[in-house]
Amino acid sequence: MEIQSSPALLYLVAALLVFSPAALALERLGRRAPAAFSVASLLSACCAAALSGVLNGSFSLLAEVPLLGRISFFSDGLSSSMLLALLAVAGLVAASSVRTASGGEQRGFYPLFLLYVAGLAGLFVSAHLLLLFAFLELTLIASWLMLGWWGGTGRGRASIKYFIYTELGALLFLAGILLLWGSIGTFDVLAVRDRGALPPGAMLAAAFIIAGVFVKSAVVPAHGWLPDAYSESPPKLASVMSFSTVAVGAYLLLRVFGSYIPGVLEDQGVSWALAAFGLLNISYGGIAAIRAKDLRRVLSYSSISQTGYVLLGVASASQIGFLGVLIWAVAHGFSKPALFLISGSYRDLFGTDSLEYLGGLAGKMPLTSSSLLLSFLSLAGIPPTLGFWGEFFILFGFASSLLSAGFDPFGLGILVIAAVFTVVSAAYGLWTVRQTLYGVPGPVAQGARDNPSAVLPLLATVLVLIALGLMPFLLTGAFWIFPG
Amino acid sequence: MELLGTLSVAASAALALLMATWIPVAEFPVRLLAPWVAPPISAVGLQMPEISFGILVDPVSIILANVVALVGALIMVYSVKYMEGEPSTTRFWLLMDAFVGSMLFLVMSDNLVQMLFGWEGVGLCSYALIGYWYRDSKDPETWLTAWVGEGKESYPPSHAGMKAFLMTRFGDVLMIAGVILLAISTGSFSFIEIADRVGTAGTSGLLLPASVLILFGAIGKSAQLPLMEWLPDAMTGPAPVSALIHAATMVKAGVYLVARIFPVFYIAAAADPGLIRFFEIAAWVGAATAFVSATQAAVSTELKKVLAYSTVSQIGYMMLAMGVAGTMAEFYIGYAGGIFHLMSHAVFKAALFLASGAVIHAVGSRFMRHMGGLRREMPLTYIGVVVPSLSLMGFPLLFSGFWSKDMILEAVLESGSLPLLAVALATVSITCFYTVRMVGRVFCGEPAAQPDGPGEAHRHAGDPSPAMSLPVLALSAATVAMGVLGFYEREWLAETLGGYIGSLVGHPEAVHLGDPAAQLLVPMISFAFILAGAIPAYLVYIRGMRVPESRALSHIRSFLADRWYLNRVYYACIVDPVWRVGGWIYGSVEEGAMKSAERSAQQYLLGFVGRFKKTHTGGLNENLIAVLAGMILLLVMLLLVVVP
Repeated sequence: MEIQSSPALLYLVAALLVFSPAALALERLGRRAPAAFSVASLLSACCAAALSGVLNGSFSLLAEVPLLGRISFFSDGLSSSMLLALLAVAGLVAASSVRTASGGEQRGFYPLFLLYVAGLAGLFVSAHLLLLFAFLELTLIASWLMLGWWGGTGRGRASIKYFIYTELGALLFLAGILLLWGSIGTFDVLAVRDRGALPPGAMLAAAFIIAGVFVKSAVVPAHGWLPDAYSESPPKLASVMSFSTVAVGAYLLLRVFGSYIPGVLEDQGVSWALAAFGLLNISYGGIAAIRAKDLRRVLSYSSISQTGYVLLGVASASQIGFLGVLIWAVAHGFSKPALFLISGSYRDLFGTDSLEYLGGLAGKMPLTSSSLLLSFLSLAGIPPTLGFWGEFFILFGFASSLLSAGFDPFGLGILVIAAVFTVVSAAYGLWTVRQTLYGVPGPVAQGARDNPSAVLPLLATVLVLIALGLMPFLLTGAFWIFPG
Repeated sequence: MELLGTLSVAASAALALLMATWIPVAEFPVRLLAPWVAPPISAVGLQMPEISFGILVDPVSIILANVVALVGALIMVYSVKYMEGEPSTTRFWLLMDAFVGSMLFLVMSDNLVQMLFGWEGVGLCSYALIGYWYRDSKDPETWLTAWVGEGKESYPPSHAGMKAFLMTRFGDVLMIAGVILLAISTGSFSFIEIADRVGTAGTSGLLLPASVLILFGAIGKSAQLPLMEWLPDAMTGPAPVSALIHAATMVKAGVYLVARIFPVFYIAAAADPGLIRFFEIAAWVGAATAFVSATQAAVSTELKKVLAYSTVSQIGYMMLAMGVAGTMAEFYIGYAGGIFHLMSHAVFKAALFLASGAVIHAVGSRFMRHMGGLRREMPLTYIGVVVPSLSLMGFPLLFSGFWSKDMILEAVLESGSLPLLAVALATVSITCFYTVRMVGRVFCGEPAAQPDGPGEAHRHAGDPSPAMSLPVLALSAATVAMGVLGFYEREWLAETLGGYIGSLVGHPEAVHLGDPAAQLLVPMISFAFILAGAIPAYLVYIRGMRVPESRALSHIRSFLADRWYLNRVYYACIVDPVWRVGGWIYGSVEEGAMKSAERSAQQYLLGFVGRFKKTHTGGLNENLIAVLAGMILLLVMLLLVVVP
């Protein structure tokens, strides 16, 4: 694939960074002005980027610095899809009128929210690993502030925990890229090297990077921060954070091991370790989610489980598996925010999203309930939702790397186990659906009804999931990972 | 909504009929293809074949489309009246239409991946419609009509829906793995292309695991052993749902899948005899399921559950037919027999389910002990049960079930496997036993008054309105018509399907319809087995003969009523452990160990920092000393770097 020089990426990231102070300035105009501005700016940025089609394969130079080398933005099929999904999700999340009891719409929320989104966008298009790290830190600080200021009652503890854990992850990642720099001599992803022998010390660096990503995207046993952070966040933050946890983890792994040092995954040990952690995560998170007590915790453990598929796909070391990871991250990125918004609206309406008190909502809130069911189905990888393609490509990639040498009972067994574990996702999804939607409506559910302004973004995300599920070529056709 | 829902299915029925006229004239297979998904090129490992979006028109898919759309249209007509007065019928019509659409999509799909969309689509509609009465209300009236089972194995609708979805999902994911393996070894997802290539693909060793994994998909969807336990509990849905999804169409998808991939493994088995095992497994799964679930039907206390077990058992026959077909050179008797039985079962079982819906509605209870003597009060429904029942029993000559079942028995006989034949014949007897028992307990004898019954207020026995009776009678008439024409039908099916599949597998020679001796022998043997099952049931349940209680009999009965303990074993070995482990992870590990580890880490860190605090005295002298020490350290480090 050709990479063409165009300033589009620079403009986009700059615009996103400018949106944040602009929203701050707009706060004088009224309470709703920043929200309206966020929705309009994010969705129009998304539409402009998608329709102009310049993102895929574009490159813009920022600076040439002596020691650090060439600093630039670039985007390939991976980053452009991630970026578009991010902008669409963030726009839809901002459009949701859900307000938490502690006031998600208070002054300063939207500027920080936009800063968070801008940080994620910058992360997805950085060609320079230190720049990428800087954006990673930006997202961390913005989300930490939002969690600490506008979170639930346990926000103090949760935000400190979130910060310490993820900062540790980020530092491990930094240590990894510095080590790699020491052996390779550049931070520039675009400086293509031969795919031959690995430089000395690359495996140690890879171990640091993988460890950092494991913390960052909450892989068991480094997942301690996630359930608390998710259940204390304001719903809008939780929504975008759920997108970013899986998507950023997937992106970092694919960018570093797909573009920067592709040789690492050809090592059997790394592949097996990733696959083993993947299977552990899928089953551990999924089984814990079955017994979680409230909807937020179900969603948290589900995120832990979903990360497992990302690891499986990366472990496959094939383009098909990588494509599966991208689709999976996008599918998760659309369905999980919808679910967090729903849990936010439950908390708003009933004061709780504890599964014990919910029930019988299917008849009371039909549109919200349908969105809940369909989002869970996408998480479980069931057609016609997009999740199916993610699961299918990941399993295909995994199978082809396991069995490319022909029949092998061990490989076949692992494949079958990986496939069977996916039933767990359907199990916690349907069990949660049953507890929430079915049965006789409880006392709290009396008088519940769909709130149109909350439902519209939900329906939009679910429609995106189904539309992309029926037209997966929109993602698969544009997919390629540098160096192609 | 009713109008829209019914008319759209009627329109698809008309289109399906139009398609049926192509069978004698068109050159099959007809494929309409459009590009859908082009996977990326992988630098390492195997490539993934392209996936196209396509329609495959051939005799098999046309026959299935006709079964789905025609039976579906009649069931929709029935539903208009049946669902009248229910809350939120829009949901019902949406899901029913979505179901018919997904099912047609499934049968017309050109490749396995696209088929999975229809496959999961029907599963989703099934899930939602089994749990249609999602309130799970436990008041006696609802319990008597909308729940399923008794005692420990009594489940509300939403539980049954979830169980159905998860069990079939288990089969489905294995099938997805199988599809992937098949694509890896043959380089295509399309049925026709795989059949073309499998002969030259050689023996990669992946074909047998692929075939068995795909068979698991069929086993899950068609409720065969060991994944049959979901279907009996799926009876919580409204009667039209049971008729359409859990009798006539969706549960046939597994048989259809085996029929669809039949040429692939038939060709592969010609190249590598090891693959015959796939067909043997299918045959044995079918035979075992037919027997096991027929015995369960013989003791079931609920009307719809008898029919559900019977459905499982009859689908077992179809699997058996497909399986033995694959082991023979003259595959077409078994293959056509399987498809023939699929058609005739769809018709008579749909009639039985629709009629049972009317009976349950009239009596206000799903238990047969609350029925009895309905012959006089519901004469039309009685006809609508007896005629399809005779077809289910395989009563000679006039009923379609006779022809199709005998075709399967003939195929089993010609395959030469005596154990399979014995199981199949024993199942014939048991089938007749439970059918006569069911008819006797529901329609003969005296109306039963039971203490746990629904009470007189809910009993309004009488034939339902014509809009509900007519579809039942139409289906009954259809089964007789198919029976009268049975001989020609059987020949036509064997020639059409034999010719078509023969051309795919490379045996385009003429179809000869088996041995006349076998054709005569089989009906006589099967008639003897029919009488062996029907007469005892007649004596006990219609003539009211007393059977002396014996320990052995009651042991057998409770073993069968406990569903061979399969259901309990699944709950004890899969559901409960997952539940417990989940509780342990969530309670002890996540909320317990992790939290306390975090707390002690925090304490330790605070203590550690606390000690350092003492060095921060704030005194100027100490601070200056520390600054100096730091500068010296930096200098040393610089020197160390620069000097060498």
